[in-house]
Amino acid sequence: MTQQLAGEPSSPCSSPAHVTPSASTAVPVTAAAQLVLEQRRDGRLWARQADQAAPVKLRRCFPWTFPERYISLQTDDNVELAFVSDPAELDPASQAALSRALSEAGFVFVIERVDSVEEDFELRCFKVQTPRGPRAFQTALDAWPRETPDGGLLIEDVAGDVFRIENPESLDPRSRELVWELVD
Amino acid sequence: MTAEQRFNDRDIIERYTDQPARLPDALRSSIIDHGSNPEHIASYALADLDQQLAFRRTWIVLTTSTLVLAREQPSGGFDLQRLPRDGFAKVELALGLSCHLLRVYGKTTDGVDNQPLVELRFTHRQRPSMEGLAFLLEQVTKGIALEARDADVAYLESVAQPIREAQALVSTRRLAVVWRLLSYLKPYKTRVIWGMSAAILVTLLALVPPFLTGHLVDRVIRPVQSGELKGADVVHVAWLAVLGIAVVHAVSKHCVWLRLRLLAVVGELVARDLRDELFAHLQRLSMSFYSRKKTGSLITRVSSDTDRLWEFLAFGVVEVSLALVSLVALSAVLISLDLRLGLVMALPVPLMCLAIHLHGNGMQRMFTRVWRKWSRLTDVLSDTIPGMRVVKAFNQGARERGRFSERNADVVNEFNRVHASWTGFWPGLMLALEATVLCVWVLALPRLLGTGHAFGPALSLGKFVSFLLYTTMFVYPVEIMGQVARIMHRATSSAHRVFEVLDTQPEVVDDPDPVRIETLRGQVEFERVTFAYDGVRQVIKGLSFKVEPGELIGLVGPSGGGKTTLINLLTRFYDVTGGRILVDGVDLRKLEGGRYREQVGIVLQEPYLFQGSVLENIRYGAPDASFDDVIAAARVANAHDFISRLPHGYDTVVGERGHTLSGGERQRVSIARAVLKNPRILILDEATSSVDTETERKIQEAMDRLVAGRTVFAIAHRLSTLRKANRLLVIQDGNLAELGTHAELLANPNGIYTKLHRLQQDLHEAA
Repeated sequence: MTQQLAGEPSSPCSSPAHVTPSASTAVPVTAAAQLVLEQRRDGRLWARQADQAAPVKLRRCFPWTFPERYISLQTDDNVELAFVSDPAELDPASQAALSRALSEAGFVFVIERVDSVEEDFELRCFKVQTPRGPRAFQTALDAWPRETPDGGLLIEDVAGDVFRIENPESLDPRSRELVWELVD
Repeated sequence: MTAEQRFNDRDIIERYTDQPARLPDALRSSIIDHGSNPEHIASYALADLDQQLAFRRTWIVLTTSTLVLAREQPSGGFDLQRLPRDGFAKVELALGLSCHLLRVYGKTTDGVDNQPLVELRFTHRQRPSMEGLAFLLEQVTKGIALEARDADVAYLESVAQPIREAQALVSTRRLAVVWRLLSYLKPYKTRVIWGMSAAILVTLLALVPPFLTGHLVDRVIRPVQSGELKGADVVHVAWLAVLGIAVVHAVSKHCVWLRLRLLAVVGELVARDLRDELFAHLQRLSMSFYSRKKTGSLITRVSSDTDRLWEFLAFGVVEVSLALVSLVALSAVLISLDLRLGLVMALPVPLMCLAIHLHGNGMQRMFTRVWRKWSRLTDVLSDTIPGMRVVKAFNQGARERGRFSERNADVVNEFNRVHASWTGFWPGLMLALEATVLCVWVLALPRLLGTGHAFGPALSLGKFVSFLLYTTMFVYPVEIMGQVARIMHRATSSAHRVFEVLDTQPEVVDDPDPVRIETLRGQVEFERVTFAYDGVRQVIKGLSFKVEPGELIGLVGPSGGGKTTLINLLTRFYDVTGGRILVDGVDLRKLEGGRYREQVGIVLQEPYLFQGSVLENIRYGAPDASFDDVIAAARVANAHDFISRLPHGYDTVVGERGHTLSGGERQRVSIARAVLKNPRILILDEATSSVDTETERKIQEAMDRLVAGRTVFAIAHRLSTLRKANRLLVIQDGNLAELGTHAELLANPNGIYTKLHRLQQDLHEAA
């Protein structure tokens, strides 16, 4: 079995149903159907089990090595409230709610094209195209892209935003040439 | 924030980001001029993602009475939504990887409406300004009055800060940096003029021997060999020419010596001046600067960056100038010798410089790859060497060897690529140069042999020999000119890093007309003191209390509550952002900083000892103290016994940060240092928290003697050490939660102090 509820919700909320187990009384859930995920009108994802419910935030345990599985559902105080090791075991509505929430929580910019890479004082300045629009960002000169197990590259800019090149080989020749010194 | 820094932040945002450096004027006007009274803008931020996570701007602006959402329309205008400021109940920030969410909830009659009034998505770049705005909104929901702050400055700082700190400096143009750097030569202008003159003379003198050689061939050797002249008649002319060449070489080498000596010394003097100025300026900078900058980066600026500037000033400037002079002079001489051949030789030179420059750029990219691979290799070293025990314990030696070998091979492959490039390029360039010389031969031969006048008039052998000698002189200046960009880049980058520190203004500065109190009484009063490290989020929230001279005040409370910040304010490492601190009735900001700090002593949890002897360390705050006083201070600190047992006694050299002594010994030396300074106000910051019980007893004894007759603020983790305190201040969440004696505070069964005390007792008993 893959889901369990544990921990405490961070604060009372207006909903009449709350999940209120404590960390010391963590009880493994025995059936996938017992955990229901839904997006409520407050815009947040809620985890419901039996008559208890709480708003949760999502954390992928392996965002780059196994992004589809092993998802921790946590309270605002970072206490793990539930754990989904395989979303396929959730009911379809919960899967859809989880998927929507994950697309936002795990959102990073995908680089489709590199327009320029220039060095400035202690900065490497990128101008790129993403599906969300064009973006200019900067990294420190010694902040090298990180390779992900699927062959992708992650570039974190000075502000902390993450940019991903899903497959450097599939970039157009000009883009590949521009990132040549950063990619193997 | 100075006007210059503000300008720089604006420049950074405009240059590096694709967002405005301030709230657009048209939007600002429509917000301010709305309604009967002009609105004041307290804070604003930009949400740069829409619901579909596409880049689309929505400004969120907090004013005197409203929260305005302004969604940028594709047409360029704004769609405004105004929400009354008193209608909010809750503010939430949800953080993701690159998309964060701000939700603001409204009020209902029975609490919080669970449908958000505002839901905005934004990237990390906007996070600091959005967090600042969210904090203010929270204050609003709690009914707390907002402190006045320039919203434009807050926005500028928060967006520009990550770039500014990564870059270490603003985007001043390279040439401006070079000029500023050269201005440091001004005090040494006589030496510079002599050095440069010598260098120019060397360059010009180098043109003489080829000319004399040609002259010798045409006027002496050839006429003698053809029988036009008798050798005996012109031998003196020949020897004169040889002597001339010898004199030129002698003078030239003397000038080389003069140039190297003078300019190397000037470079050193300038580097010394920069280091002095830099270090002196570092002493003036506020603690906030040091909390922003990494120690390693600052050390690099004072050491290797100034060293690199020496190299540039001593050699780079001269080499580049001389290369330029050489190329111009050589071209002029060749063209004046023979127009056609001169042009053949001179015209390809700019192309060669360009080729070298482009090759340099390519090499730069290759070196970036080498650098990346090299980092991966050194990562293995920095992982495994400090963690060797773990590697051995987990028997992972073979795996680590494999990891190292693989990365080592990667580095070699990259270096091989570099070597393949330059080893191919330079022979190629030389070939191009020789091809040019060959062209000269092709054009000159018919004229030398008198078989092809179509190529020009007859050419004398001497002139041609001179010509060939001049062509060999092209190589070096061409090479230097090709490296100008790299030389300039290296120097300006270093200069930037140095000037950044020099241009940083201290945030804590003395009043222009300060009050000097010769001897403090030690009365301290906090009056509604507020403080925020980032100017927005308050960590001290309206703290007020008064301490009489000679009182021992214990500061207790949960971690992160604000105890250390309070100490930082009292020592004036930072200035309060609201309220004031009075010392002997005078605002701390009005007091003469130097004299005040002379009368404040501090003993830290991690005592810091400098490289030097125990004696020098104890005397650090009072360099003129007598030996008797040093020993007396050490006795008070319970340090004399262990110091006198050391083979070198008080002359024992303690290593960097005092690591040759144990923790307790270092602490007692630091207490002796505080004792010798005889401060009127003493701060003890967790002075006994990291030592064993016996050492703690000795330190406690020392401190008991130390506190007598002074105003003392003591932070202690172990509450038992504060039993002798006259009063205890319990600081929690930036507020003064409880105040009283140990007994008084324990009398409140639900008090914070009582809970902390009970917790410690339970732990003690459990142990």
